[in-house]
Amino acid sequence: MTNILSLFSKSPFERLYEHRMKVNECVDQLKPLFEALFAEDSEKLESISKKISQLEGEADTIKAEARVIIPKGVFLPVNREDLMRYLKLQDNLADTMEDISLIIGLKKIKAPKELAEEIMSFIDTVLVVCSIGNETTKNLTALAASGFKGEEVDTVLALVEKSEKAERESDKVGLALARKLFTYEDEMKPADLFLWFRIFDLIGDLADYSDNTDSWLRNMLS
Amino acid sequence: MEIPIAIIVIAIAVSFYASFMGGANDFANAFGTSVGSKAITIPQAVMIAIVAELLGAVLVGASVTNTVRKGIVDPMMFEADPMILVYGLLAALVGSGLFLQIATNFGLPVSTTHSIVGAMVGFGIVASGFAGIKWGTIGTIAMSWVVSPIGGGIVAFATFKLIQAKVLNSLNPIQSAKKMIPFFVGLTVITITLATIYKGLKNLHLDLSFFDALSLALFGAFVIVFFVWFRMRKIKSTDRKADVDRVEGSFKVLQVFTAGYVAFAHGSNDVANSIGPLAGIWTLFITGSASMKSDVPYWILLLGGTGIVLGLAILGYKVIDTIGTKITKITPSRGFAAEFAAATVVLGFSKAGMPVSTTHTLVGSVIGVGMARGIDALDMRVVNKIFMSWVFTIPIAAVVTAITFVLLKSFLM
Repeated sequence: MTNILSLFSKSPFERLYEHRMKVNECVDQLKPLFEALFAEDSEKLESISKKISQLEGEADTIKAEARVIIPKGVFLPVNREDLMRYLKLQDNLADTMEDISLIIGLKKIKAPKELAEEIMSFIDTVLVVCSIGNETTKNLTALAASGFKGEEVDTVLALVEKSEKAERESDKVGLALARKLFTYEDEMKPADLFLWFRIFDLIGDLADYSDNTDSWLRNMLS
Repeated sequence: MEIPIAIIVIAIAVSFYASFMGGANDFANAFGTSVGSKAITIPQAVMIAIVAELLGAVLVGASVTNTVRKGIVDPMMFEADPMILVYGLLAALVGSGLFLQIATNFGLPVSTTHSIVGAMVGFGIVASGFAGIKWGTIGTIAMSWVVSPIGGGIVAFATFKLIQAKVLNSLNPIQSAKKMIPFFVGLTVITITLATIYKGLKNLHLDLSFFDALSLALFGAFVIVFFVWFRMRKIKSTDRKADVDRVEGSFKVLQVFTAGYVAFAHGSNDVANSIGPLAGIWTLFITGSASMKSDVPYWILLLGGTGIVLGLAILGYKVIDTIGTKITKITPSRGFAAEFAAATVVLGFSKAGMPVSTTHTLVGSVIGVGMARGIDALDMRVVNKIFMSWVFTIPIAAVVTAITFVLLKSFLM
């Protein structure tokens, strides 16, 4: 018997946060990954890479499940396509993490000792952006509970602004780091130089994607 | 004219069965949003339903019953041979019951209200041609089917927006809830009381003027509002999130009222589906004439009410149990908005003698809350299914009844 209760479908918002948490587990591997790289612990490097791939796969599964529960014909308080895009942007973080670990696995790459410390602090600035993004997605359920009105909206908009600021900061640090990288161009192998440049790019992308997710939510709210 | 006692017994049995099935199917609709928000448990829902459905059926049920009994097919057409009318009413009961049973077996969402109207139309066309149907009433009823979900939707949208702006998003939700929740309680109590006592208790000869009825309603509301205010006065605000949670908690209390309100409205409206034809047969049995005016006796209303209550208590809870656990959470404030709107609209139409579908009105109300961005996810494909049932129920119930009527007549006459 179809009745009024079958009208209520499963909520996608909690799933979106669940996905974010999985993506975040993946991003959390960033520091251990580089620590292993600098310690030249190839065993650990490999196990972390494996873990990243596995987490990326799990995030994909949650993404697919979240899509299944919001098929066409389900009426949501936000645009369905907007929500799908939010999910996709969030998923980019896990994909990028996998790309980084793959590049590191391509060959043994070395970095000048002086750079290592600065790379770690660059990673820290990127992680700040990502953790703001975690907060934002966490607030999605609160937004839905408030009917996308009121104080909850202000909370999220403040987070988006914070994310933008943090992202600009990490951009600056990333640029300075890239400049510094090329001061070592005579001492480093060209291939290492190229790969490092590419890695910096991808680490910067993490902050970009997290910030894109945040700004997209602002789009959805306006 | 003499009506065989066997026919009376069959009519009583069939209409009891029909109200039993109706109660079983509609229970989830009337209580789904209350149980879904965990405002009340299923056993509590059954308790509320027993009281409120019975009261609604007995106190307000008569006006809709009269529409089913004499508003669709003119009983005067059968003055010469009242037995035709008796068979016709019996066929309508059997036909709509049969159709409901078949539809339920196939898992199709059908409205008991629509099927009885279709059944009466089917009998009318076979017995006296297209001219024998009061198409004016049909037109008004059909209009109300469109108007009632839209009305429910608009009232629900406005109610939820009001709750959102005045309570949930206000600077101090607890402070606002202390004002708004007694307001909504008062409104609910006044509406129920007015609907019950103003022109409601005809058979009790309680002919209150509108002013008397209103004073009584206001007095009742005052007592209950005072009680609610007294209970809420000590709630203190802490941090915002906890406050909003606590306010949602008080909406749970409110949902107990609206659940009763919906059940009352459901009983007042849907009792007619199963007992309308029986009331017609009984009038013929007592007066011997199709044209005599008489009120629907209380025992018939009580019979229908009892059938509904037993149906929901025995079969209805299963439906909620199976579906209720798989769905998105409905917050109490949303559930309240939808229920308040649906009950008000259904009760309004019932007072006007229009049989409307409780399910469809509630569907309209839930969508209204959804439009106000109040619900996480609504499966609109279900709405599609329900809409299709609007289109098909009446013609199919009409055909099934027409066949039943022809068979009954050839066997018994």
